[in-house]
This record gives sequence, structure tokens and C-alpha cells, in this order.
Amino acid sequence: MRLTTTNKVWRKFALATALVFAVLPGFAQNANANAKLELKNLDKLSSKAAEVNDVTLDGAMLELAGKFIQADGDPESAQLKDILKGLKGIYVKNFEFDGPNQYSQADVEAIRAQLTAPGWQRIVESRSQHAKEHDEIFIMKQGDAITGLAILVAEPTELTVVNIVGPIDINKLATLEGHFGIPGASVEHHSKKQKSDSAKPELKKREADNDDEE
Amino acid sequence: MTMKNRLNAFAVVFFTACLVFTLSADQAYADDFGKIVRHIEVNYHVHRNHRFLMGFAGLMVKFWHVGGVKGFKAAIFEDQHLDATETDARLDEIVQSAGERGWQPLVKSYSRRSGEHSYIYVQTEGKDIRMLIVSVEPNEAAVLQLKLDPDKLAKFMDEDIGERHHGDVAAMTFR
Repeated sequence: MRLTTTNKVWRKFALATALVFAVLPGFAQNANANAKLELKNLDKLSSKAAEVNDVTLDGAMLELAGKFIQADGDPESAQLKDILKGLKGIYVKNFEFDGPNQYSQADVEAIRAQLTAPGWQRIVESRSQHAKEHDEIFIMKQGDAITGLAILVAEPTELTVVNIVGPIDINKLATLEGHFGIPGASVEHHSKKQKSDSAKPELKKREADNDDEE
Repeated sequence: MTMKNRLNAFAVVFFTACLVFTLSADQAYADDFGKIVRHIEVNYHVHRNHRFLMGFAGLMVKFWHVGGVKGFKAAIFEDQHLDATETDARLDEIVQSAGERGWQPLVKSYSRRSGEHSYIYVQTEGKDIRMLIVSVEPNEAAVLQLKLDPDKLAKFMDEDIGERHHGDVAAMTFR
């Protein structure tokens, strides 16, 4: 059978469409996979730490957590349930030490290096020379959507890493505070820090953008 | 057979079943629950409390799935001395080795200051979820293994617990 030019064009279009649909889920999965940080290198700190909290919530357990949240009448619970629906995983590691220098900069750098990968973007950085604290919030963006979040809090006697994988509505993010091992008031805490002189200009610009939207 | 004889026969069968279930709960320490319980008994030199009661509860749950709980094994060690740093490290290894047999760690919490260790491991089994909960404190410990139907448990929580605590904040909160 001889193919006309129109048929050839349609064939190419169909093939291209099929390829796009075949590849897209892989991209989406890859984006989620990339947003998951490798935190195993921190496990060695467990033996040095005075307090260790490690939460791994993914797959079926995240679904289960969503089921257990009673959304009846409470707007915060309803919002929390809504956030959990799209999430792929919540990972929290928190180490508290009796004294300083129990963890090395290399331990933190191993995490930070992963956050320099394409897609990750730092939205908050706060350094305090006085308290010797370095706090950072990173988001992974895919187009306009946020597909991952990482919070890194390095204090002399405490190290906390929070990694959230999956689509996140940044406006609803505060709802997760205090749940699933995520430290309470973290976002508010960091927002306050942003206003300090040590905060980087990118934060101020973001705040200004948010104010304009409001 | 008279009514009295029937009741006696039922009592004998029932208590035998409870006894068998209590002993079989260990399953010769073959599963992770048994291994952890065995480790606590041997290394901390403690013994279980309410063993018969736990066996009875396990037997009841086997037939009567309260709140979607289909299986239940528990070992409780109360008012006993469990403080030993070296054995604590070994406990970490034993509990974490459960991960090699398909258990997924959900929560691991350890405090050297208070001597508290808490582990929650989960495993999916078709529609059901199995949970292994280990909590060791200086003067008490508990090891629980549950098999539950999450849908039925959620429904139970919504209907029975939710109605009683209407308007409470999210039920599942880890801190």
C-alpha cells in the first residue's frame, strides 16, 4: 500500500505522541526519585548522638497516615490530608549531641552536594555567626510545580535534615509542621530569620513577590 | 453430656487453646518478634509479665478482629531493670536486622540521656499491614507485633474514636 504524504505525517505524529507518552511517566518518576536525598551517610552519627529521631514515611505508610487523619470538621486536618495525598515520601533525620564537633562538615556537605543537582534551588539561607547555625531550605522545581523540598539545619550540637518528596503546595506547607517528625514552627522560624540582616537577598525578593501576590 | 460437663469441657479446651497460643506466640523465637523478645530476656535478664493475658488477647484478636486488628502478639516487661548500654547497641542491631527480612523502618528514636529506644517497623502483606513496635526504657519494655487491615482500622477510628473526640487535631502525629 502506498502511503500518501498526509498519512506519513499522521504516522510520524502518532509515533511521536506514543514516544512522548511512553517517556513522560519516566520523567515524572525520575523527578520524584531525584527529589529523594540519600541520607544513609548520616546513620553513622547515631552512635555519637545523645538523641536520634529517624522517620521514614513513604508508600503504603503515607497512605495509611492519610487514612488515620480525622478530617471531620477540622480545617487543618483536612489540609494535612490533602497535602499527604500527593506526597511520595517524608524523611526526617535529627541528631542531638552532648557537645559540639560531633559531626563533621563533610557529613553536611554530602547532603548539600546532592542539593546542587539540577532542579534544586535554595530559597532560604540563614547563617548566624553568634549561634554558629546554618539553616537552608531547598525546593526542587519542575516547571512551576514544586516536586521536592529539603530543610537542612546545622547547629553545633544538633543536625536536622527533612526531605519531602512529591508535589508540594508551598502555601500549605506550614500544615506539616509538628507532624511526622518535622520540627514545629520551622517555616515560621526561618521566615523570621529571613528578615534578619544575615538573610540573603533572594529571600527578600521572594518575600516581596509573596507580598505582591497577597 | 450434662450442661456442667459441657462447660467444663469448654473451659479445658479454652484454657488449652490460650496456653498453646501463649507458647506458640514465641514460635520457638523464629520470627522477628520472638528474636527481639528472646534478646531482651537473655541480655537484660528480665522476664515477661502478663504472659497468659497477652496470649489470651492474641487468641481473642485472632477470632474477633477489633478495629481491623487481625493478629496481635505482645511481650511486656514491667518494673524491671533494663539499663545496659552495651546490650542497647546489640538491640539496635537485632531490631535493624528485621529490615533485611522485609520490614521497613518507620520510626527509630533513641535517647542516650533517658535510655529510651523506640522502633516502629512496618511490612505490607497484601491489603494488610504488619507492624513491629519495640520500646525499651530503663525500667520497662514492650514488644508488639500487629497485623491490621488499614481500611477497617481507619473506619473504626472514624466511627468509634472520631465520634468521641470530634474536632481533635490529626490523630497520627510523630514528635
